Amino acid sequence: MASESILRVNAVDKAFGGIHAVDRCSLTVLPQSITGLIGPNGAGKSTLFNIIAGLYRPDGGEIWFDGTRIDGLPPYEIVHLGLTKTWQIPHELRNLTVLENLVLAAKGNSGERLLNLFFRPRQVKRDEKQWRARAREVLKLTQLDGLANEHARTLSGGQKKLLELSRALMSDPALVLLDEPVAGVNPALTGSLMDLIEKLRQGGRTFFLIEHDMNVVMNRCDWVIVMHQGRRIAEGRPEMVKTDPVVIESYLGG
Amino acid sequence: MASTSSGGIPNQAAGRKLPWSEVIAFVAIAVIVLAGVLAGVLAGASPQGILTNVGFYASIAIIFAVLALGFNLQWGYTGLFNAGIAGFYLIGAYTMAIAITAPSPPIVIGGIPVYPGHLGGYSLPLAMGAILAMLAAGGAAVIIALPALRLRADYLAIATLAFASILQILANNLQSVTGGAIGITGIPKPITFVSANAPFLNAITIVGIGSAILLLFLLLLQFMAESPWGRVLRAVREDEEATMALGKNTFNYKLQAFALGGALMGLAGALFAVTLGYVSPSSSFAPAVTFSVWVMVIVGGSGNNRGVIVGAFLIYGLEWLSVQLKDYVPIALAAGLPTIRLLLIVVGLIAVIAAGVFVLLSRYMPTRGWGRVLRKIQERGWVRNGTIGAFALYGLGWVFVFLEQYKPGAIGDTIFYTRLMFIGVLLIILIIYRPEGILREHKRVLR
Amino acid sequence: MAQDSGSQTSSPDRARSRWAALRPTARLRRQLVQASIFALILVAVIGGLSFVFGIIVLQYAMGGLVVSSIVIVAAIGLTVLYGIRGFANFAYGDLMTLGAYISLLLSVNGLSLVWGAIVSFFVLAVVGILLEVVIFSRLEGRGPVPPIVASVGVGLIIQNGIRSIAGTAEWLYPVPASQDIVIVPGLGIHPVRGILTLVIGVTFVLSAHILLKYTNLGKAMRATADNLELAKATGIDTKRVTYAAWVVSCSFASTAGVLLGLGTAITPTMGFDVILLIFAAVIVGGIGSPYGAMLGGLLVGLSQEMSVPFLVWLERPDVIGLQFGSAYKVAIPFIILIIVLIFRPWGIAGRRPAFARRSYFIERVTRALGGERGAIDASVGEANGGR
Repeated sequence: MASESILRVNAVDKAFGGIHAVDRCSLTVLPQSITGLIGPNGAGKSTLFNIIAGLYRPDGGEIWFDGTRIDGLPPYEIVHLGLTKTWQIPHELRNLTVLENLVLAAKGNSGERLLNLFFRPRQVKRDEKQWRARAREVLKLTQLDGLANEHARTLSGGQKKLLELSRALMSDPALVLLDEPVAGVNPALTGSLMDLIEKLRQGGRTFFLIEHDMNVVMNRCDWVIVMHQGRRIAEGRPEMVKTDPVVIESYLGG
Repeated sequence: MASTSSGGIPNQAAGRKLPWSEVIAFVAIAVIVLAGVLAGVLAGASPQGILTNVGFYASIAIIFAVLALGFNLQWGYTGLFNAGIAGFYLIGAYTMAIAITAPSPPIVIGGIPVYPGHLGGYSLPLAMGAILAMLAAGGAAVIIALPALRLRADYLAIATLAFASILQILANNLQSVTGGAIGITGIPKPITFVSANAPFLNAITIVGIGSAILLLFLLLLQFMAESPWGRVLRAVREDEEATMALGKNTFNYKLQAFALGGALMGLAGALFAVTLGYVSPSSSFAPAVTFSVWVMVIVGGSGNNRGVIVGAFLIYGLEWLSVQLKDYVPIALAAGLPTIRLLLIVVGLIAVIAAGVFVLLSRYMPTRGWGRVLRKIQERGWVRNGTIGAFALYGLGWVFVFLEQYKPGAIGDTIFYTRLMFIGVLLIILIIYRPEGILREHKRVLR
Repeated sequence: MAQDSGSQTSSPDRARSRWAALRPTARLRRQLVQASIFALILVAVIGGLSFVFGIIVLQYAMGGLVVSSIVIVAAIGLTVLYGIRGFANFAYGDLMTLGAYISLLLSVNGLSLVWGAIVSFFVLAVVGILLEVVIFSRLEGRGPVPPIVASVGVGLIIQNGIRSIAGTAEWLYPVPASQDIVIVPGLGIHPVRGILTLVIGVTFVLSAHILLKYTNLGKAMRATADNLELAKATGIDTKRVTYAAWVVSCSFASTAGVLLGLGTAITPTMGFDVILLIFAAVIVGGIGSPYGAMLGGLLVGLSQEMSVPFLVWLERPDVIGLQFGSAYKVAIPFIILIIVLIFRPWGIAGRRPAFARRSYFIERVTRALGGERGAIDASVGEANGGR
């Protein structure tokens, strides 16, 4: 079982000054799936994502990604292993253009090393050109190509969400952690966004997403994990989770 | 804005409009230089003397421009707020002085040590000294950065300020290395002239060398900052955490930017040592230097290399001009005191009446016709700002007048301090109303 | 915090509970024990040193205490403002200078120094409110750097304004000259520079303690420093708290400036010269925490003054022959500062930064919690197994 999962979180713990945000939480994500993570506010979902992405060091437990243990690694190394996350509150780089935001997210752009600028100018030029072309492709996918040369700060809330997703796609990740990808995105766009995610999944990527929009969770996810008070309380196929009394209680009583 | 080459890939500035703020900045620099020249002519200086003086302005302004470039790399691009610019500057100046001077043993006259001597006397070539200065300052930047870069901006500011002031204490007291309060003298010029025109020729060579270095580093920094590497720096400035989550080792980038910025400040120090011919732990390395560089970068537009150079010429120009005018303002004030008083009273009265009339009119006039025009003007804040400006002028004028009566001749000294007050006012106003500076950072339109 | 109970009860109950607040709670008792252990260790160290090296050490310790009491008054003012407004006020030293000069102005014009100090206390309080209204309220929510830049601007204006009006000469307060009071041979204390400073320092520390612990305003200030959003949500008038912080900060600056002027001479740079000492005290104690500032001030002041005999010893040619050894005493606090920055950026007293809202540590915590501020108490939940 463990061998076929792409992400395995094993008894991860995180406390902030006495508050147990994540409490011995264990879960697994299968490759090429769209797995949803739901739970009431304060269940520790975002914190868990931050821990998986390496932004916070867990107090205990193990995280395995694609056969590598990643807990305790800095975030940039985890990205290089092929795991990218987006933010719940968009962390767009405000005074950079949309295109710059995307090109920046590319992995292994040789021009980002200072010495290469002077000693390998040709390669730098080639890489940069290639990544810009790739960024434009991604922007077409997410329908942001009209805004490529606008400052990221001028985007609307929904567009910023799309920018988050586009940035995540730039690094060609095997697993993408999406923190509420469609919150604030208009309904028409939500549909096409989820179609895009579905298409990308068929291309071999895995998506693990936090979402409050039950339509998205029920119709688009293959598997749903429910968190409550820092723990996984239930999981299963969407229609099974929907009727699970434990889940209903946690939403109503929590 | 002219297009600049970046990482071999053409970039294009977005705006095609005439950049008024840039024009104003250049005109202001020209006015400053002309005023300085005029003061020299009035004082009856020789043309060569005036040119030497202008050359001195240019050479010091170039030094400040190099400092500002260094700070711009740290703050404007990477968001690292350095409050110890004077410290890196000091390291560069002393390293240069120690490296390139001839040996100078302690001087003892009648059993009393007059000069303690200093470390060095290696008589190295100037270029070597400059490289050593950059290495020393860059190394110091790495050492201070290792603990402090992990912290928030204000901790970094305090740590760097502490670092700079420790260095000043060391420069003053570590006599066997730095020559104590006297410092190090006899720093050789790039070319030794033996003629009556030596000061003039020296000024010319130094301005020449300085501007060549400035141009070189401007191009280099522009190339680096507009490259993918510079893009990561700007990303760190915007949001370090997000940049980290995009797969960048942000600490490394911060360290590189901080060290390179420190090295540039060291280079500025080396230039300073050569320009002046001596270094001493005096006001040249006081915190005021740091604050001046801040103003230069904020005025010029942080994140805009050309802008901060303009800022440096502008702000140092004010200091230079204040020295040039030091002797004239009191005389002029004393001569025209009654006129000036009258003028002040008129200005004050006009300001009060205009403001009052405006308030009344815009409050009681209908919202149509010329009442609307008035309201529009008021909405833009012109009335308020104009009134505040007029009152400020009024108050400042009276302060000067009273000061002149109370303590004749005090204004000459006061002007220097007034300049620093002005820098303070500028810092506050700019950071509140125009934090992006006169020449703002331009948008990078990628093709 | 612990004294919050009983704020909603009827008046006789309220009166009783107010006194109940003064009764030592378990936490207060624990703190008292800690404080007395700390004091005991301090006394033991100084006593031991003076036993070994002679009474001169005690003299230096006395000097250190006097310096500390000035630093503590200033550090409390700086840190209160930091806790609530979230920026390091680089103009603080110059505000101290301003306080010293205002009382100087009054005292050379016939008022007694005491009245001068009191008037400058209130003048600086007004100056603080003006600074907030005119400048710093416009910079709210723009990160730590813009207010720092603006405060440097304020500092430059004050410092150079004083220079151009009062000149750069040194001034002295018109206090009657008096000899040191000799306690034991070799150990003396000056009645004004020593005893008065110590007494005023202790008074200010106590009043800050009472203000923060036992008044509603103080509780509101602590709550605001703890968590601005939460304080707003619970109905605390954060605007009022901000003004209160400026008033406390600037009026403390004035008194610290007067004390500093009493101890040495009054010059336009007197405040700026000690600003780093105060920053060191604040950071060592944990930025934003008044009690940390007290501890940090004590540590910084004592270590600076008591390093002198050691530095003088280093001056001896048979040791390392340091020149002007005692000039380096001002570098000692910075060394402590840098050590603290490396190992405990949140300060030695900041165990769990509850007061230091915007410290390095707290920032990570708030970021981690994100928008999720629901009930996160861990109680229920099934055992987690594999899939």
